[in-house]
Amino acid sequence: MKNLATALLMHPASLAAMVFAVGLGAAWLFLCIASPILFTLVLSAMFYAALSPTVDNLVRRDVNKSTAVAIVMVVVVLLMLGLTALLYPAISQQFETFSSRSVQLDERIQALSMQVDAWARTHLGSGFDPDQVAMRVVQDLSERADAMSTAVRSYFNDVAFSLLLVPLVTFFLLKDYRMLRSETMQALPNRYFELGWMVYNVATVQLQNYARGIFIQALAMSLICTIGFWLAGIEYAPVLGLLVGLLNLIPFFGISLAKVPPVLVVLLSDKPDLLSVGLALLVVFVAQAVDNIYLTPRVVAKSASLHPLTVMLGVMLAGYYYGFVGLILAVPVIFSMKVIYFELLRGIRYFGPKHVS
Amino acid sequence: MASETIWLRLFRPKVEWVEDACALCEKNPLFDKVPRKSIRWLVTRMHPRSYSEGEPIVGMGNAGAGAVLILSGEASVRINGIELERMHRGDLFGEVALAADLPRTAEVVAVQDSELVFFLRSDLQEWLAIMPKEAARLLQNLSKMLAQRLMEKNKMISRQTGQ
Repeated sequence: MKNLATALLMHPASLAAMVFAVGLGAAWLFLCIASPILFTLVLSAMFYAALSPTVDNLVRRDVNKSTAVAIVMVVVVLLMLGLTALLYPAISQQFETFSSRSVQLDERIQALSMQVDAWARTHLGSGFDPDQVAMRVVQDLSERADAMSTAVRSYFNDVAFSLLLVPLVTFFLLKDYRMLRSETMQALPNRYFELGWMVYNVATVQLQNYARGIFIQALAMSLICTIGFWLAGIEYAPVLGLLVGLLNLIPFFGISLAKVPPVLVVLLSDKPDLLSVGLALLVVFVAQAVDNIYLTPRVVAKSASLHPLTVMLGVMLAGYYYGFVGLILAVPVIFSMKVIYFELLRGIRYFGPKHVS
Repeated sequence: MASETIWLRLFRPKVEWVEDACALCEKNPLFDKVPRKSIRWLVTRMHPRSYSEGEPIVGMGNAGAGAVLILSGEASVRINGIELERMHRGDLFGEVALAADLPRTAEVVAVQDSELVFFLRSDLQEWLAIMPKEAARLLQNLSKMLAQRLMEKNKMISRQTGQ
């Protein structure tokens, strides 16, 4: 009996599960402690991933590492300042237009509900009270808008503070990340040292490929939709394009959700007409066709191999517990967990020390 | 040093072994004609480890992540408990793992408290991406060494079959 318990405990799957659980616990603890600066860390990590090839390129040309990092950071900060100075007037103007229009929102919703009521009475033989419906919708929308504006304001206060730290953290990541990583791996016991590095390397390559895949997918979708909406004369094309690109990342539900924002914007515009609705839908259809025919099979599917049921349940649970962020991050997180667990299992089963004491 | 704890291992200063490892690498045929500056750059990315007497360094059949350079101490190369070779300061073993993710063909055990430096395949790949010319020189040296070893094995087999 004791032998059976030991055998079960020392089975590669149990060992991998134990190591995985410890790692997961450590990650959870880190997320809890680092939650106030999580946004800064995520943004810095993204900048690190984007800029480190440029730093390597400069090092290859005999530039000292610290100098290379300093050059890249100065250029990036100047570019960001320049872009902010250029884009800020345009964005603030769009916000002003939007706020002035939102005052007339109740009139528009009333007009829209009257149109729908007339259509329903003609074609379906029954209608509703358009004034009452419009009033309810406006009341609900204004409550939601108030809540969202408070949330957005506090979020941007946090973001503004975090943004000051991002260049600093990115600088040190570019300069010392490899050293920090090596020093952390030095904590492994001798017998797991090589195994630890092998698992880390394989898992990192797979995760990098996957992250690159979904980034390319989101970027391509956003660009296609932005250009499409702009050509179709739909307002707020860049914001809508970005939103559709993000929504499209949500498996199963994203394909339908992505069509909602452009249609809503058209319906709430100055002259809502069926042609514009059709064009907005056509742009999303074309972008999704390009995504399904070209991007997903070539860029994403190769790197992510998850069972549809896992994805569906994971997305539903993540959406329930963590809202919109959960919907977007569900698949990357499930995929990362799968890769790390199976690499640990493979490492312990085939390449680990034979006598684990 | 050999039985150091995790926290000491985490905060151990690197510089003390770098010069020593650079000097030993320069003498090793694997680094033949690789510029000194590049060797130093690479060595600063290697991983120092301490082993106590009798502790296995690599296990036969386990996958190797890279080659190992002996800074101090002695190691014994064994197959099924039979010693094939003694390795000393300056010797490098496990180079095959720099080329491929293959199982180790022998077991290596520290016969004294030893200081070793691991040169991982991932370090080589990173080096190849950053300094391709220098890394290509090292890969050329590695292929020469492995070809030479293959020839020796072939000669040994033909001698055995000839008897």
